[in-house]
Amino acid sequence: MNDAGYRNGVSQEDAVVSSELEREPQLKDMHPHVPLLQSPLRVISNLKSNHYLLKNMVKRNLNQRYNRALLGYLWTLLEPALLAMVYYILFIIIANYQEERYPMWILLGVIGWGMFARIVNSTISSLSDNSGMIKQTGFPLEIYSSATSITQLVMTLISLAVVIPFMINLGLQPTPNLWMLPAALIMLFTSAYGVGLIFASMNVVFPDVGHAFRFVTRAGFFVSPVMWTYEMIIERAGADSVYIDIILLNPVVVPITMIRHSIEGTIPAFELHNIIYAVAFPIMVFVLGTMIFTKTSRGVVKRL
Amino acid sequence: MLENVGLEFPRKEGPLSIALRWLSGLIGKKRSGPITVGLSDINISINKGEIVGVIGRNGSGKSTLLKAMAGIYKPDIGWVGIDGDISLLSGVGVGMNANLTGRENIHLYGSILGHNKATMDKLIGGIIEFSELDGFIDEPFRTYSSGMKARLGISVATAVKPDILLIDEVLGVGDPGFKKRSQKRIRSLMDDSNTVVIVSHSFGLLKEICDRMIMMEKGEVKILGTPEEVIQMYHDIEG
Repeated sequence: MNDAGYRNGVSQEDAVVSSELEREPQLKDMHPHVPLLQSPLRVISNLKSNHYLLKNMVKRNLNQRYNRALLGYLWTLLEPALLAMVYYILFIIIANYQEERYPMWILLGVIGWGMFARIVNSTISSLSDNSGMIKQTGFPLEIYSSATSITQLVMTLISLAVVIPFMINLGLQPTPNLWMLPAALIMLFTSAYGVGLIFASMNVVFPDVGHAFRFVTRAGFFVSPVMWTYEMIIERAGADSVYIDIILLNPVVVPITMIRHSIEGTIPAFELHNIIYAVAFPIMVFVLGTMIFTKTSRGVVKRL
Repeated sequence: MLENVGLEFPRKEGPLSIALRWLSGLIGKKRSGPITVGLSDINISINKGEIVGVIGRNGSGKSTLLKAMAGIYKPDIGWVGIDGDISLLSGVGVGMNANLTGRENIHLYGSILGHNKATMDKLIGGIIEFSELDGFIDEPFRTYSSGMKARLGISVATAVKPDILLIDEVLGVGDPGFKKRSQKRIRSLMDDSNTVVIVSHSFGLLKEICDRMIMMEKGEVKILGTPEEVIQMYHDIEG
């Protein structure tokens, strides 16, 4: 019945026009098929072509966080510093550990691990958190996840300034080994973003994923070098213990250790295969994440 | 533009029924979950320069149709193709932030609507002028009255002329003076845009401006024809 009415409408008025127009070659497909292997490039080119939007959204996120706070952006410095102080006191009480650089190690661990955990969680929830906006605007969905992740990265960069007083106090000078700092941040960022992209679509269908990951990142704090350092483990277990390789399966161990050494101006002692793993992990999860995200994210929009 | 487009919304499902469905999938029986039909078998082709009105009752799929055209929803089957840049006006002021100033929000909302920095820098003078918010433009957005917020949103949304404009009932905010001016601006926007698809309940307006109209019912195109025909049909059905 409905069909008949509809066909009548078309056949009387527009049959000629529509048959002429069908599949006009210059029409752009709204949902072009992206070959799996091209997904990472597609994500990067989408971010590039929307960089102005991305910038505005990062600005908005930063503003939202601290605009009305009396201390404003100072909180990005205060937060890790206060947190590190609490851990330091705890650890001194429990382990009675004496080392003058230890507070700075904790601080850098807090900053590095904090960035990783927050990017994982915010990327996973990036689709569900922005459901209102996603359903009213058509731009690429990776903008949302990237905007929150880049916001975290910017905050981390700001908060790194809190290390300067520690460096002065310990008489540390910046050395050429400081190059490890940006490298390690890129490794942490890419790993966290990739892991987040893998699970972002799934989190829309099953919000349990987000809850589970909030637990995983909380527990991950203890198996990551925040309160401890890689060197402490080597000291305890011996350099050729199998435990070292197991611990190094955690993708944040190498980057966080690199951050610490970059400030101290020393080179960390890693085996070659550990370094290869630490570099390959971010690349692998990023590629996998963009593949899964590109394939599934647009389809889950109607479930938001 | 749209070919055999079908779209289904999954309905809320308990964990037990999901598990059962997965299990039956494992032993080879594929069952799909409970669904609500959003759009079914839509075939529409809209020509360059046409103004097409969409009417229908609440929940008949009008907005879903626009969102499928804008690429927000990906159809389960079928194909959507467009030529040129497309812009959807729905829920004016999406993404605007309370703590940013009016000026910053203009840039943010403009970029959300898909415009680049150069375009926004060029347009911002005109946008501020049209919104009549001169004295407040560098104040935080949260200090604005709701009318002022809407005015700013409309001013940005109507500033750029895309090739294809999709409008989802956004007309009519602010005081009568501004309402009149914004309607005039949307009309001129529609005149200048190449192609317009508009969802609205004001038949008078649609009759006046549309070349063709579509009536939606339960996710299907009930009739597609001249405004007179379609409105007549609507009244026949609705009584």
